[in-house]
Amino acid sequence: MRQSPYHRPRDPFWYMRRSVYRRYMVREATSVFIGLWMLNLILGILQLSRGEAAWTAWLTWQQHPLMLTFSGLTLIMAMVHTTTWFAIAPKAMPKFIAGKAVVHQQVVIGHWLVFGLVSLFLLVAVYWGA
Amino acid sequence: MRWKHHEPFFWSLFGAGGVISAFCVPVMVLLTGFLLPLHLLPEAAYNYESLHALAQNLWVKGAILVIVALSLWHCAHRIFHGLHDVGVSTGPLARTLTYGLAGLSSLALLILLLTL
Repeated sequence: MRQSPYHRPRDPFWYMRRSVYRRYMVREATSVFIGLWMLNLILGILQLSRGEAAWTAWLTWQQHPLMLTFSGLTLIMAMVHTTTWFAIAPKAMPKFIAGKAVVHQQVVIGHWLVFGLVSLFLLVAVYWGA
Repeated sequence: MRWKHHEPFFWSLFGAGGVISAFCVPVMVLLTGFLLPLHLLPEAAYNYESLHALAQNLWVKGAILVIVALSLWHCAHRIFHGLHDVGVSTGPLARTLTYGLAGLSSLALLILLLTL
């Protein structure tokens, strides 16, 4: 039998020590909420495929305070994800595009403009598409 | 050394999922988490027939699949790498539970959309 490898003792809440660590953990935690929410959405599409009664039951379940709390937390966490993702986007880009220096602030503003357009388009599509 | 070069591929899917969820998830949560269940949109928007008809559209099906599958992969990648931060040593089991769950639910969604 192989001896289990040595693990240096570590504070399990190491990320509470500095605000930059805490913000990092909040950013990573957004994935837990978005992932669970995606599974809930797949459940909704399953119910939609099973007929009207099943769909209405799923939609009614979304009105439950527990689900509304979950949706609210997911909305906040999704906004955290969007904000942090847009903030690092210019840093992941080339420094120069077509010989011109990339201005970080412009890239971030551009991302938010597209975000606004996408959100507006989806809202309008569901509002008038119905 | 079979797994030596899987990370760039996993990361590119993670990046794509990060971009698409950054743009799409907030408004999707607003819609299906609040506007539809709380009946804040006109009746025609949240009734079964119109949503079922909307989901029949091939473009809508494709968009849902791409957004959900990539976002799930993004989340699986973040959770898998985040396990180390909360003191869980990762191995094949953690990999299967994170990426496997994301892959299986995406596959289930694909079958669901094809039969819808």
